[in-house]
Amino acid sequence: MLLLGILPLILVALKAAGAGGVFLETVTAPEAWDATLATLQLSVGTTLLAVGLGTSLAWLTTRTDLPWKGFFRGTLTIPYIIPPYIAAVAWITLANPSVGLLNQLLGEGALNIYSMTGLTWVLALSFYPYVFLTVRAALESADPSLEDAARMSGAGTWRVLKDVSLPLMRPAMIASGGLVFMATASAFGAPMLIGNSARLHFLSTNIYDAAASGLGGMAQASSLACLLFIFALVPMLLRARHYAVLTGKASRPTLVRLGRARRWVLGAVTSFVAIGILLPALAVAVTSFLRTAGDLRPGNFTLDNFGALREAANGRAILNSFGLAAVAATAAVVLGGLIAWVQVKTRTRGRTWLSGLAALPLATPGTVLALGLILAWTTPLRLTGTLAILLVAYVAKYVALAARSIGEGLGTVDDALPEAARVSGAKGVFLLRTIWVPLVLPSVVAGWFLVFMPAFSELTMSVLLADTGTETIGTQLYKLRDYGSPTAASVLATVVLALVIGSNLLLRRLSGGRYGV
Amino acid sequence: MNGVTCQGLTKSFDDNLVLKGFDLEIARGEFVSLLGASGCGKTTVLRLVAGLEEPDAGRVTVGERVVVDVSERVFVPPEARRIGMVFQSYAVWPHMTVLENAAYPLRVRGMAAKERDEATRRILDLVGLAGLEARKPSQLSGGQQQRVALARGLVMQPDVLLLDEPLSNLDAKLRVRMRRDIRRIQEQTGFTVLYVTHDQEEALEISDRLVIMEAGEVLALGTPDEVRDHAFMAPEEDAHA
Repeated sequence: MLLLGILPLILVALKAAGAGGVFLETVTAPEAWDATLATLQLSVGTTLLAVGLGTSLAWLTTRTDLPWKGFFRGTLTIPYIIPPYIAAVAWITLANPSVGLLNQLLGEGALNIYSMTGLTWVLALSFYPYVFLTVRAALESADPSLEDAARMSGAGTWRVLKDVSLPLMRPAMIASGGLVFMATASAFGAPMLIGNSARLHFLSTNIYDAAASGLGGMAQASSLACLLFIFALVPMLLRARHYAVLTGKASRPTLVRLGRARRWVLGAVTSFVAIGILLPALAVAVTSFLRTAGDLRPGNFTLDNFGALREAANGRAILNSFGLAAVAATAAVVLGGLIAWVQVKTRTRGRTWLSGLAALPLATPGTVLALGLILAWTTPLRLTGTLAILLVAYVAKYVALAARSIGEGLGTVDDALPEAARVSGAKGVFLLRTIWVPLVLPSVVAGWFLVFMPAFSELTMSVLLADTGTETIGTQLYKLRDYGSPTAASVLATVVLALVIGSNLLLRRLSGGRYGV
Repeated sequence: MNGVTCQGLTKSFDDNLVLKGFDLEIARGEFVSLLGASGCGKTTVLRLVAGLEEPDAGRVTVGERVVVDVSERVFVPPEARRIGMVFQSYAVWPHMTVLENAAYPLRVRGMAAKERDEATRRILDLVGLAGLEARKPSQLSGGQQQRVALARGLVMQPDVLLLDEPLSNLDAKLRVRMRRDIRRIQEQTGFTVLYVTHDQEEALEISDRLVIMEAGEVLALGTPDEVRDHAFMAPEEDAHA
């Protein structure tokens, strides 16, 4: 079953290698060079912006006397669960040069989302929570007396920040920055939606174009996929470096007093939440009620757009996504549970390899993985164009999320707990039902949701794998947006937002706040 | 009468030989301690008797019944051995109440709820937990959790009770009280006890006989008076181990 995820990757490499001439021709062509440069520029820009935003916000909400910290910590993590292409749809609504809502306020053409800067902004807003969450965790587990000691040595606020706090945060910044880099290089929806109109082409979008041009383009697509895969390896190399583990009792940190700057900082953070998070969500929600996008006059409001949900393709897309995500989550929990079991509870040789292999598809750019699945499942068993190939893609991509969650759950179960039950006479199903299930269930439920949420809104792989009749909510939204039906696209985006945020709330409630953001 | 007999028990983990032909005969109703530093194989003996590990060679008899014999390919799984066991970490299940934890072995055997509750309450009373039946383990002190584990080990009235460093996580005062309680209960009910500890004073006070172990082998065997000198020659254990 794991071969479903790994075999496709090998096939992509073989396809590229097998087409030796095409490979050289493709990767040395000027278009490939331009796309590589553009991908690099976008990834570096997004990573720098995201690390800057995420680190500052993490420090401000853990180490300073900034007010409303609880509120900020709750809202600042929301973009974590919202797919970047939804953010792209929102920002196109807000800042397309002609009818963007913000440009109506600021003057036509004031902001142009169809640019490298615009795309960098959208992706940084989507990915900074990786940095925010990781750095925040590092700061919370770091011993605050390290900083107190610097203060007692006579260092001022900035000096402490520079000499002690920043070095404490650096491993977390590098690790999460690597993730942002990988996610940006692999991103497809936002670069396609925004880049197309700006005549910007990236590796991921070029792979899609080549693959979509028919089977003749597969060799070309595979060659580019090899290039993109190299991008995904960079953060892995960064993460392989060894970091000292931060230990120490997490006592209450002495809060840095922001003094007179406090009001300004508060204003800045509040504006960020309002503009970066609430405004785009509002733009999507409001547009789904507009007859013509961009026109906010009262007469233009309508409920008619929601009639789009009754349209065959849209309704089918929602049902497909919901069903696929639910089945994929269930399958991933079963498979991930087995992997986690072997990893945590057995001494099988090669068990670390197993979980490494299971995690590989997660780190692989979705475009590359989808390409591999097409190659793997065209002959002899033809799955392309069916719901089954989407299911295989979702399970392969996200099984590591379920495995990690269940692994953490299993890890907290002391071996003596099931042993005590066996000595008491329990075995088989009874042992499973009375001891294992109650102890591990919360992490299984969390694992289910952690797969369900991204699978429900998946676009990158689906857009290559879906066909008429097997549309998903992501591909349908992409199509509507591309064919100039922004109001209908906003209706679907609103459905995604509602479902993802709803699932997240449910997950938090079920797990008592341990999972979800 | 036979309590527990171990013959030629050998066990290695990976390439590490932790038990080298261990022999021991315990009479019915006898209280025997295994004493030694960590890594000497005493816990392995206990786990082999319980059935939580399979020996590489050797044979274990409980009462008249062979529970494992490597040469005869006999292996009775732990759930079928009817042996009580108290774990070092207590292993009290966090999702069950005190009563549910202690009643579990009877529930496994399908005893009717009413009968089961009565039997369990009698045991909880014996170990000094009357009145705490509805508590969850998180609401108990370490000593109380220890008593839950003891009650669970005793509730099916096993012929043999295994205790794996049961008192090592308790403070000194509580430790003295608990070991007197364990000994009192054992004298009242008459089951056979195999008790693993690294605490010499504890072993000398509580046991009928002691086995002093080192590097997987028996160093000395006898009554507290017979092995007292040996006991104090055995390497002192780090209290944190």
